[in-house]
Amino acid sequence: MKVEKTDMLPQKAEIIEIKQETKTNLNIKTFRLRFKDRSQRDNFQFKPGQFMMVTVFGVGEAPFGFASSPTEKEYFEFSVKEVGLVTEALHNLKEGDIIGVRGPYGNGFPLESTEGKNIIFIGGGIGIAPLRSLINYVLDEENRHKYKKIQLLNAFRSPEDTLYCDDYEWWENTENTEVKYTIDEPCEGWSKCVGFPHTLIVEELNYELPDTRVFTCGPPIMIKFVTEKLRELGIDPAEIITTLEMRMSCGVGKCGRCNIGHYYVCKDGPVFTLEQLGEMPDEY
Amino acid sequence: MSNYDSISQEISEIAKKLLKESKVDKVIGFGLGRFTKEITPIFIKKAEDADRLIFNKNCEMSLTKYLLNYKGEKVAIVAKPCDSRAINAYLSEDLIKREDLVIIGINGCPGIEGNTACEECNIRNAVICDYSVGQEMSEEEIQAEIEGFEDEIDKMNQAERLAYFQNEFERCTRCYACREACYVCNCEQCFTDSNKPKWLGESVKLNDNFTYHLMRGIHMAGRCVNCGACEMACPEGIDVRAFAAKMCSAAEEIFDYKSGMDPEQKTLLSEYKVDDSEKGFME
Amino acid sequence: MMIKKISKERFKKLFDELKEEYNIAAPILKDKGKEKILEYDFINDFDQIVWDRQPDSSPKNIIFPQNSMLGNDYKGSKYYDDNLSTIIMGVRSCDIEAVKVFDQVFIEDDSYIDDSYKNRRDKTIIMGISCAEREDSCFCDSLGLDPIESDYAPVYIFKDEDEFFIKIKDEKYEDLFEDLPKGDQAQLKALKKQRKEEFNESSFSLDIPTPLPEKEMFEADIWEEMTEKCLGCGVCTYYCPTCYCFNFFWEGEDGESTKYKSWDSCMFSSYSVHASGHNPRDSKGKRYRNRIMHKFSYHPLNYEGLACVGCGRCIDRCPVNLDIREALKMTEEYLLEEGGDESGKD
Repeated sequence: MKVEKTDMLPQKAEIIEIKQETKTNLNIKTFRLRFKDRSQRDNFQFKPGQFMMVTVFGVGEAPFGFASSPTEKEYFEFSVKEVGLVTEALHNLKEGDIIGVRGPYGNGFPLESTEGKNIIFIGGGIGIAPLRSLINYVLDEENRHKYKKIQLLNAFRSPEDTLYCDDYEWWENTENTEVKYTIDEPCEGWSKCVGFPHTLIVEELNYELPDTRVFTCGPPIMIKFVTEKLRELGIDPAEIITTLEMRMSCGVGKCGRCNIGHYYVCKDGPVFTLEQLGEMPDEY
Repeated sequence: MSNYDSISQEISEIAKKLLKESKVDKVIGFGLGRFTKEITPIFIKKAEDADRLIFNKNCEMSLTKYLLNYKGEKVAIVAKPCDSRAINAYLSEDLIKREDLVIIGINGCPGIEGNTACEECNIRNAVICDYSVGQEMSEEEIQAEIEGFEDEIDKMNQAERLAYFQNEFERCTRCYACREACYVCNCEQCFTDSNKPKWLGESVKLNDNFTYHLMRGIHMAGRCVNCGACEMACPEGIDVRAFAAKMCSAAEEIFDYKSGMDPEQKTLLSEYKVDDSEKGFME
Repeated sequence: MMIKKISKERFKKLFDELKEEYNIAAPILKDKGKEKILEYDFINDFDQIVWDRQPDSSPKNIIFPQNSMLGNDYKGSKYYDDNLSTIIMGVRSCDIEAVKVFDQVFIEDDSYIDDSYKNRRDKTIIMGISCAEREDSCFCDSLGLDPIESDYAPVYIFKDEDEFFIKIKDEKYEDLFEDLPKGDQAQLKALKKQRKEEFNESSFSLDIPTPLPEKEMFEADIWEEMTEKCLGCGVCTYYCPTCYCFNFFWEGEDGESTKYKSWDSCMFSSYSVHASGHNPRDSKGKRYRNRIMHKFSYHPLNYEGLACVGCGRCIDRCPVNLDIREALKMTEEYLLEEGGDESGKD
């Protein structure tokens, strides 16, 4: 793919909806966006697992993975946790405001090679955002038939931290699809699972080997325990897929800061299999 | 004034003894690189390597800051008089422990080539040490050394000063060598790296460069020991010491305060007396 | 290929002709406080050029300015004209090789072509110059480069006392030099041979194969000791002819803000910090490891050749004289020792 023009300047996109996902512990909002320009809107394509560089004009730029599925043609979404300068500025914007976006960048989740497999999604907190893009893609009626059993294990800190509640009904009612939710500690009124996701894999999920592929994303410590457990259960590291986060500036493998060994997370990732990670230096 | 060779020899002997008797784990001093004949900080761990320690007119770095890397370890350090003041300042701020430290202080410091701070330096003997090397200089000898020194910037009028500093800071690439070389600059996060609030623009333009040097200069009040390490570190030959040096002389002139003279000394800005001079205030 | 030989006076005349149609950058002495530093800049006067020693900085700032508004060009000199192409005169093998590294990364890697770099580069002609003697800190020949002549510059100068051979390797530029008196190829060959013989040997040699083993060296325990004296400033990266890390930033209020690009340095502690505060390279050793490994492992794995050209400026400019050659020797010693262990197991 050749990119010949200077595309380091962002395109303008309008915030058409802002949803406050959580507020009590973490401040997370989901931004629904669309390009100002109609032809741009029509030509825009991306893959679940890819990301955009998002600009708040005058403030700065930061990478965000798509939280919506490309099957939604009219808009795309990012979920943003307020942590630093750019995310704070984003949180201060309102519907109708204009931001800048450029991309999509990165490799995205493997779609074709996942066809014909069982899929397990294990996501924690804001880490569910990039998974949601893929979940909504595979559960879409156009695509659902391409995959076998689909299971979701969504982990949150507490009931107040649950994300994407509006999707639950749809997820749960799709055929041959099972959805589980867990929180870290028992809590009054919570009747679903309790405990860290790695402790629930054996009991709550059916990992039919060898045709199962696992997508996991969440806090580094969760990924560590989950992947250790999965390997222990005999799942091939090439079938365990995660995404990495790194500080980035350019998004195209040039500016230097997101490299892990000779791989650039922005260009060669952010999606990697556990097998690939095993070959890379441990610098994340 | 002491001579470099005899100082070198004395340092090596003391270091050898300290390492042989396991009084310290390492000696921080100056030596030559493996491929260049340039002076570089060296960290001697074995008695047989102590001969590598030298002192000459190019020992321009302040070694004091390295002490922050060895908290809890027993280390010896070679200290020029200015560096010994920096050690005092660290002790007074409780950043290092006296009992972990063996100071090899240089008396009658013969100065560093190209370091303009030495031209006005009136502290030529180590102010704190366990071992002293070289020959102590008397007050008269010191006065004779700095006699006739005049601060060129002091003589300029406001417009000339502005022009002078514009010309200097225009060259700044914001590599932050001055900051990293300075013993005072040990903040966990420098204001330059803060983006909330954002004190400083990221562009390397004159106004941002000015802001950087002025803000850094202000932080030097009552802390700078006028060692000149910042200026020696600057790859663009910028007079980065000027603001800090001005802060030193102002502290001395207004509050009769000289930083790092005593390990018990409180920092200038942490003390307030009702009868403190308010020179310059609302003038 | 075309060889010309001209006197200093004739070169001066050529310079004056060229400057009508080109911006010309060359190494000139610049006042830096008490010292004078030899740096590339745009000039108007041939006599300002200093030919006889390695400049203290590379021409990086000309092809990759420290600050640029996105898409915009160098505007740092009163002699620079936006409408003209640029000739950089007197570039040595090391710095020419560094331009090659930039070209690999920003133009030849077709996963992304940096348009602003490409535009600038397309409008730049490099006139190399042959080195006559080694500086204390340079070691380009230890990395396989030839200080006498680099193949990557389309035009090359060989200064012989007050006379100059000009070798035009790229036909595209023959027109510019056509009127000059012809040079004798045998004479130039003899000069080069003599240079080569007189060039004193480097005290350093790189005796390990590259790319350095990525994972093994990453896990090596030598990096913190190697950087014990490192201050953590950005000097080595800013004066490195091949370091190209950059950052974007915005200035101005919403509505009228401008995006800028500026150099960044992997040696800064803030460089790789995540918004969450997590920093994968949270010590000087880890940062220096990335710097060395980028040059001797990651770049060669992703492209071709090393991303260190042996110019020695990081050594000369470092406030504590941290020497990359010592770092490489420590790496070599580590690998030999570890390699020894490995073969011992077999």
